Order: sequence, then C-alpha cells, then structure tokens
Amino acid sequence: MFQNVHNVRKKQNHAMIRAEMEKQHAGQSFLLNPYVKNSIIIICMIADMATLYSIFELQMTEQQILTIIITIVIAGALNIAPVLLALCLNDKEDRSGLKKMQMAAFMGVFLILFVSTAILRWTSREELFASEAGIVISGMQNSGGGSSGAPGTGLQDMEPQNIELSNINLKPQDSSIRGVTMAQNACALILLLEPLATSAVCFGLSYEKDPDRKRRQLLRLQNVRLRQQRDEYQVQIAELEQELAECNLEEYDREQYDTMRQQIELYRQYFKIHARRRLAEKDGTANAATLLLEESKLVQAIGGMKL
Amino acid sequence: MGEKLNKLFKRTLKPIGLPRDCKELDCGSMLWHAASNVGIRPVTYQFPRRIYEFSKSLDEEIDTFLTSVDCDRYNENYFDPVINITCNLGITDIDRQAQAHKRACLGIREIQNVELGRLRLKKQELEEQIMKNEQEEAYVPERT
Repeated sequence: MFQNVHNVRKKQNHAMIRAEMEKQHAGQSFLLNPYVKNSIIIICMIADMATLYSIFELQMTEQQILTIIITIVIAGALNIAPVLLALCLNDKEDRSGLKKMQMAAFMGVFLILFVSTAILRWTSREELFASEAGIVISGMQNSGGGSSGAPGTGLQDMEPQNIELSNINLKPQDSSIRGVTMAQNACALILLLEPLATSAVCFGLSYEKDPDRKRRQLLRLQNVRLRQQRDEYQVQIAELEQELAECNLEEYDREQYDTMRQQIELYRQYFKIHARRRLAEKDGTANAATLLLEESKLVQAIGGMKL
Repeated sequence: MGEKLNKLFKRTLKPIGLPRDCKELDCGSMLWHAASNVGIRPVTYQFPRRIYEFSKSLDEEIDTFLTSVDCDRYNENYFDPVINITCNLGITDIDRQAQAHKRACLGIREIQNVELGRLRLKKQELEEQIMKNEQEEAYVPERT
C-alpha cells in the first residue's frame, strides 16, 4: 500500500516538474534551449576549423597533426572568447576591476586572433586557386627541346618520371586569369568574414538581455525539484511513523513464538499416540483402532506429516 | 549516517533479523533494508531440528524395542519420557531463539528511529533551502 502511495506521489511530482518546465519554456525561443545553443556553438567551431585549416595548411610547414591542433585551438578561442565575454556582460551586478580586465582580455584575444587570421587570409588569397590556374605540364610546354623531354615527344609517349609540374606566373593581361583573381578576392572576403560571423552568432546566443528573468526561472525550477524531494521524504517519514505506531514487534514475535510452541506440543501428542498405537497393535488390543483414529486427526493438525 | 545504519544492521540483524519474504541476509537484502526501513520483522522461528530427527527415528526405535523385548504386554507409556525430553529440549531451542529475537526487535526499532531522524533532518534541510530560494526569488528585481 505504501509503495503505491509512494509511486502515485512520485508520478504527480514528475508531472508537476514537467508542467513547470514547459510553462517556463513556453515563452522562450528554442534557441535558448541549452542543447540547441551548445550544438550551434559547436557547429560554428567546426565551420571555423574548416575555414582556418585551409590557410594554415597553405602557410605552415609543421607536421599536419600540429596544424590540426593549432586550427582547433584557434577556432575554439575565436568562438569561446565571445561566449565568455557575453557571460561577463550578463553578470550585471559584478562590474569590478577584475571583471573588466577579464572582459578586456576576452575581447583582446578575439581581436588579435581574428585580425591575424584575416591578414593571413587576405595575403594568401592569390594562392587560393593556384592548383587550378597555375599548373602546367613542362613536357608539353617544352615540347620543342626541353631538358626533361625528348624533342617532339608527346605527353602520352613520355615516361611518368619525366613529367614535371611547375607553377607559372599569372599574367594580368590574361582575361581568364583576371576573372579568377576577382573570384579569389570575393572568396577571400567571404572566408575572412566567416569567423567573425560565427563569433557574432556565439556571442548573440550567449548574451542575455534580462539575466534576472533567467535567474528567477532557475530558482523556481530548483524549488520545484526541492519540493519533490521534500515530498518523497515526507512520504517515507509518514510510512516509518505509521510503522512505529502500529507495528508492535514484540507482540508479533510473541505470536510467532506461541505458534511454534503449539506446534511442538502437537508433535509431542502425536509422538505419544503413535507410540501407543504401535504398542497396542503389537498387543493386539482393540484400543489400537481408537488410537489410530486419534493419530490421523493429529497428523492433519500438524500439517500432514506421518512417520 | 549510512555507515551508522549499516553497523547497526550488522550488529543487530545479522544473526537473526531478516525482512519479510527474505530467506537469508545477503548484501542485496541489507542494502534493500537500508533504503526502506518499513516492514522489518524478526525471522520466523525455526522448527527444532532435534524434533525433526526424532520423528524420523521414532518408528525405528519402536521396532527395535519390539524385537528385542520378549513379553506379551507392554507399558503403553513406555516411550513417553523420551518423547517429553526431546520436546522439552525443542522448546528450549525456541526459547533461545526468542531471546535473540528480543534483541533483534530492539535493534530494528533503533534502526527505524535513526532512519526517522535522518529523514526528518533531510526534510528540514530541504525546507530551509526552499525558503531561501523563495526569498532570493523575491529579491531578484522584476524587469519589464
């Protein structure tokens, strides 16, 4: 019975918490859901990693793993710094010098990293499409008498080891190459602004116009949970108090003892009658039949056991 | 608090005290008990083994007696003394169990009282926290 009451109470409490949470989430944008918010921040970091990796791969001469680690760290810093800055701004009560220094540090880290990556991106824009525009096959270029290929030899006739790749300088007078340079500039600009956009998104998601409202909601939610726990304790206390008031353990134990004692007394009678009956049978007296009847009654009383 | 309960449990219930529907006091049933202290009872009394053994050997003894004694009539109360002694010893056995059960009852009560105190303390802590949160909530300014 107690278990049922307990379960019903538990279900009621869960329903109450769910209703309270739904009520609180009803007026909020789904973007304020912490799971959605964190997922968007992670997606922004991944997008920044992909963008920045292309520059670092081009510019850095370290091992690839180091390049990947640097990319992850910088992409993380570019997105975490605005989030931390927004959290500092949310705390409107604390405007101490330390807080201001923290905010300045986050801002500084973000600006340094963003400006540096932007410069890198802008300066390396010419190499952005190098793999498509700047590669020629030397065997074809020097088909008239180069050092690597025999004179008059076509590409299909050359040995693979004799084929060389070399870059050629882009000539501004070439109209097709001029078109690629425009694309480079546009692309560089987009990729340059991409970390800024993702950082702005992260900042926007973390910054709250009214942090007090959130604080109140958190307190209400916490109170609902605390009340649920309190009610559970209340049920347990009621159960125990009832147990202490109603259950007399000594009396219960006495009943058990008396039952066992009665059973032993029944066995005592049964053993005596059984022994007498056996002896009477041996004697051949008429009393044996009476004793047999009495014995069978006792057998039933002690639970059907028969010697 | 939990440790204290466990110690109490081991001290008082290990020899005899078992929950209802529990055959032996293993670790699982101890933990179950620690979680719910409602419905703990001393174990039911064990039927004395000596009476059980006697019931199995009684027929054999009667047969031996009948074959070894050569006379026409027997005293019909011949086996009564041995039956009485065996049953009295069985009663002594359950008296011993009863002594242990008395200790168990005290132990169970102690466990339940300690648990009740713990639950009341927890409830009081939670109520204080709820009150504190409500005050804090009222303090947070309402902005429109």
